Amino acid sequence: MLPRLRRFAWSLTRDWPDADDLLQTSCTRALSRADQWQKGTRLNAWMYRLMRNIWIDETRKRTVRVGQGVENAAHSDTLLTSGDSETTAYANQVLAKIALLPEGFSSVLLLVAVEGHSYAETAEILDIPIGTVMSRLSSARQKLKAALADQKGARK
Amino acid sequence: MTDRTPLSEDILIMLGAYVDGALTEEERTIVEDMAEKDPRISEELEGLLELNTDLQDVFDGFLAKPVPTEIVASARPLPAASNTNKAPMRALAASLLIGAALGAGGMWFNQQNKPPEQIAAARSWLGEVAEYHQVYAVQTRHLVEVLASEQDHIEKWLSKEVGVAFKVPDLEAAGWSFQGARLLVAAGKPVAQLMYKNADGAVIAICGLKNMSGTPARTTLKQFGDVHMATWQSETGSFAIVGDAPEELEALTDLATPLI
Repeated sequence: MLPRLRRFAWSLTRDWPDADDLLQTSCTRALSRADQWQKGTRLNAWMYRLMRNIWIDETRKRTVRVGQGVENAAHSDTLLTSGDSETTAYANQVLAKIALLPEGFSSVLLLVAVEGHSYAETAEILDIPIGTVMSRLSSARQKLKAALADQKGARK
Repeated sequence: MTDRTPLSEDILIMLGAYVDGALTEEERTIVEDMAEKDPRISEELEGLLELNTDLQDVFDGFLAKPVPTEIVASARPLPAASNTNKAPMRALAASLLIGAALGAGGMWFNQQNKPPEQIAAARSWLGEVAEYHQVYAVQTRHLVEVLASEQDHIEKWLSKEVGVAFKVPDLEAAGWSFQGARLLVAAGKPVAQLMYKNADGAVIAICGLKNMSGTPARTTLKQFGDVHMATWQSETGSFAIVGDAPEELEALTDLATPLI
């Protein structure tokens, strides 16, 4: 489960060091509150909510500290090393574009388009209205499609 | 002349919902009719599906990234006072660590030259069975492959696959009811796994495979992390009862040995 939680952490933070800090804090907090988790219930949704809450607290603290929220990741760590170089380069382009989406958009994409959560589950995990899930999702997709149009053209 | 004006936001949201499987049958039909008539709609749907594939490729690539050891360490159970109930923490930690210890994408396969000592030492069939137990014991809805109602079939199937005549021991008297069975592969050999549950929802497994040495052995208690086992051998089979509570396992072994 840790690799999936780490992926969700990245979707919130869009930065690997922040994602790892968030995951570590979340694991420690989850274990200290293990009695609140009922065995057999959906652990990933419970963990996702916990991580999201910790991240919201963290972004609030940073806003107070430096007068601004978490910036969009200006650079994105390259990540994928398997596959041929052209595929890897394209995947890294996609990743960089996801990282540049507005705050809160990439988690919606991950939960719905990749992990197959329903809109209602996603709304519950992220604590936002279903309408916001749908509009963020659509907006994220349009932004990504536009940003990737050039790369796609170059690949064809 | 074909209309090339951009699609409205509402239409785009609906097309997204189509791709996400969030529409009713009736709404899907409407979208499909629209796509047949309007190339903007069909192109948009194609683009959304293509984007989904890209997103899946990229995000699934994340899963192959090794999880740093300090994070794996943070997901291990905390030391707790002896009078507190550690079971929820153990269950939670086991679930968190599933991806870290098992399967492609976990750290195990990504640190090829440096497997953690605890895991490296456990490469016997028992070590693998302990890892399986951490995975399966929390699968409350998918605990077994074949249900207990097919006990005759389970006994024939597993005896044939494992190569040891196998009976399902009745442990009801001790409060453990048979749930069904799985066939595993551990240390490259087929292993039968019989799953039992008690009234508290705790799970134990009896695992068995062919005894290659042909010599019997008495009950021995073993521990792999939080997983405990009582093991024994008959002339034909090697067996283990796997669970969380070591104090109970020895008694269960006495009960199960003559019945298996």
